[in-house]
Amino acid sequence: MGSHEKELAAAMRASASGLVPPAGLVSGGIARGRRMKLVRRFQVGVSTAAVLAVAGTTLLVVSERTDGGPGQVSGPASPTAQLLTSPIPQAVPKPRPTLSAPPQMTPLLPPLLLHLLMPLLPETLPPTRITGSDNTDKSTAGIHSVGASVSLVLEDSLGPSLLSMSVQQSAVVAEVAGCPHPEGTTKAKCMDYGMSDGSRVVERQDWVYPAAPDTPENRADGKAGTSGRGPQEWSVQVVRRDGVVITVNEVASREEKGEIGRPTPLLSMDRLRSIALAPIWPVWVRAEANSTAASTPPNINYQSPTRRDDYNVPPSTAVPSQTPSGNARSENGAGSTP
Amino acid sequence: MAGFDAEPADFLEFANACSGRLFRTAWLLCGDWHLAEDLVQTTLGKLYRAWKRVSRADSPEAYARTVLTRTYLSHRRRLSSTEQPYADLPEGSGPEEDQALRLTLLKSLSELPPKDRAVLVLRYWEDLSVEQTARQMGVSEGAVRSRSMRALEKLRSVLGSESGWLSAA
Repeated sequence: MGSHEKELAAAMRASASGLVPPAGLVSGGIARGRRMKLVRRFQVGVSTAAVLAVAGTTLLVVSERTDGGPGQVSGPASPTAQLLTSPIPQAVPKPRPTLSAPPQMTPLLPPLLLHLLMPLLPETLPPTRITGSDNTDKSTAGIHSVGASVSLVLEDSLGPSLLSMSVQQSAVVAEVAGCPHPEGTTKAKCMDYGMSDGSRVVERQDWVYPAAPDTPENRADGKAGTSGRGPQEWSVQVVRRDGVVITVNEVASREEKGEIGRPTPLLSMDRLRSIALAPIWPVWVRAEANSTAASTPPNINYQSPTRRDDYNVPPSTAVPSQTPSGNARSENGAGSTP
Repeated sequence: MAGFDAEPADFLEFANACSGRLFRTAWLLCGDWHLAEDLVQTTLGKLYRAWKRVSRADSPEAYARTVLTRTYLSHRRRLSSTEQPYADLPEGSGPEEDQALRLTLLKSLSELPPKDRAVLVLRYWEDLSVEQTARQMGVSEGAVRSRSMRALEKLRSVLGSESGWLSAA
């Protein structure tokens, strides 16, 4: 190695060795891995349905793995494939707390969550790109957490806005992330307060790449400046006394971490707050309510980590493409940036 | 039963052990704190998805580095804009010496094409041989050598006499 190369190596070591990685790298990676598995399983399911429709007599069985994740198929399903994954012996898992389902009740599913959400959205803006996820975490021991989420795009003449909503209850009550301790001034806003009914509310107005105080270290680390970076992201999270967590999140873009679609998210913070605090969000519902919602437009295409027949609801159907009206007014007035 | 049961203990151990190193590599590759975080999480997600196979590899660490490098290069290919992740220091601010070095390094690296930058990071940060670098990037050894020479030459021309390192010969 020549002297210049040694200098470069030394400069890289001096610059990077002292970096303290952000918290949550591993948990964030695992969350992405889970999503990738779900998407993969969903894609395999779609391929399987298509194959079965064409071949008619072909059987494709994708058994579930027993190591904690959904089954994986290493390649596209062939018309004559019969894939069987044998159960793999595993160590006895640690017992995990479970929730008790009220009698005759089942977990909330995305179609019903969507139908509860729809009346709270502007009537003149038909949502597009509706997707959802059944977030119920279930094992042979029982249900560890229950909930669902949906996301959709609203669009007016100023551009698109991605709205996501989730309702969740876990047997293990996780600590809610409140506002960060202020280490310096940024243009982001955060409020953390309690309601008279015992609920806790956290409101944030930030950017997809969060604003960071203007310190030499943050600049040298390449963090976003005091005005953040990317589309603006607003959210309201409510943690009710019964442990149910309602999160409404809105990004001024058509997709997560996408291009900036509009100056600020379409729905105002007041609207997000009223949605999150609406006294209508259940986590346990009657099975018929899920069934009715699933068979009533607008339909929603969603993924689930659990088998559909567990909850005895009709299979989801594809989302019809809708065209936004494009001439409705935004709720955001001038000066509503965080 | 499918679901979110406990994560494989060996994956957690591996991820906790290597995530810091992966982050620093990602930061040198892209020069952006948040993008580096994204790249590492995507890399760990891919490893998590295929952990049964990855854990049987000779070197899961090398596998992880390969995934990270290719994820970075793939990300750069998809980018339509050429965002400059570094920022000039405002007048009057007095950054520490290492922070100034970071900025100078990031600024000079950002002048390089992504593949050239990846070659330098793998060769001089990860301390890989030409052969290992070629394998990680999926290119020939000759390509690594030529990219390395070109990138070093470019760095010298960018830095000129600004820095004590890599000053013109």
